[in-house]
Amino acid sequence: MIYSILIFHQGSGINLYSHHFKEFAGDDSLAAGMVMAITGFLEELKWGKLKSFITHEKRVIIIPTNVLYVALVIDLDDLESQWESRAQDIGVYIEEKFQLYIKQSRAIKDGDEGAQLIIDKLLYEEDQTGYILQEIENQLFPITSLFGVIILDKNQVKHKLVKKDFDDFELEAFMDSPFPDRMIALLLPTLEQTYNTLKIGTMDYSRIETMMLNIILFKISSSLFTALFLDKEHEIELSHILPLFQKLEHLK
Amino acid sequence: MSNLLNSISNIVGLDGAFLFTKDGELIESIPSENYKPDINLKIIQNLLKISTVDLDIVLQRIELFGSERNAIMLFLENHYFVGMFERSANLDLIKDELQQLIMSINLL
Repeated sequence: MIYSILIFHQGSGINLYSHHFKEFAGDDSLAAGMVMAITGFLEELKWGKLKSFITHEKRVIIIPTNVLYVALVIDLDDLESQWESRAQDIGVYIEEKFQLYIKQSRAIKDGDEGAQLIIDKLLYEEDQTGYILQEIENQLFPITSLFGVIILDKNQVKHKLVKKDFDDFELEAFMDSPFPDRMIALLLPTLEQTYNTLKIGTMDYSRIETMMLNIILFKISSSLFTALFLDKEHEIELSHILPLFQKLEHLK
Repeated sequence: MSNLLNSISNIVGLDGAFLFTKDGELIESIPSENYKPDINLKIIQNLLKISTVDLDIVLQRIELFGSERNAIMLFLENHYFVGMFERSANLDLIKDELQQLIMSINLL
């Protein structure tokens, strides 16, 4: 998920464009000044140019073009490679389209020449689903108790990620079969009906225990759900998992 | 047969508990004054039908975490148990009591 985009001049450090996708309480020129200061120190030390840095909450990637720096503030667990080419494209676009603004050190506003619309398009043009699914695999598959993940949109199975080569042949065959998909697609509407009938409100999440395995169902949005298939012996820590899937909602 | 649900009646945050036979007969319940759900056994049976008839997967238990309260449904050999809890109730803490209940029900 992207929080902010900041574009500033490499030579002067003047902030030319900024847009915040989430609430931002800071000062844009202060942010640009900080990046310029670090860049300056690194150059003095001959440690090369600043490419990215992380805080306890965010990751910031900084891409230089000919005369600009494009800084994207993204989620800590986002893949840098996922955003680098977009930052590059945005820098090239701004350099070409706003030469006069750059020359005069004039701030580019969202409405100028449709800047924000084009930047949004450059940020989201490429389908990021593949990256996010890969990220889900990278983060969840090392969990030994997890066999697979199914992601559903409007009760239709959208993605199925199944771990390979786990010890239990029966479970592996089950996960590879269409049964888990069918089971979840059938269960989901019935479960929602159950929530309504039992007056327990809207679904936060559900845990389903069967003879063979356990299933944890998360509601990510009104139509997006994810089902985690787990072994019966181990519990899974859920708090860090949900934000991973919420990235898929951001794409919709 | 009476007071089967006694072992869980003192759990903090319990918002109602219901025990049925597989035929849908209500054996025992702990009613709640502020909460009267319409427990439609057809819904529960639909859940079981999906799992057992269609896919041959035996459902044992479902925990439902909702925006207003949480529920636990146990599918035992000859009985169904539905327990409702306030959102603040810690389901981990009541698992022992539920285990005792399951043992009592299995003796029926």
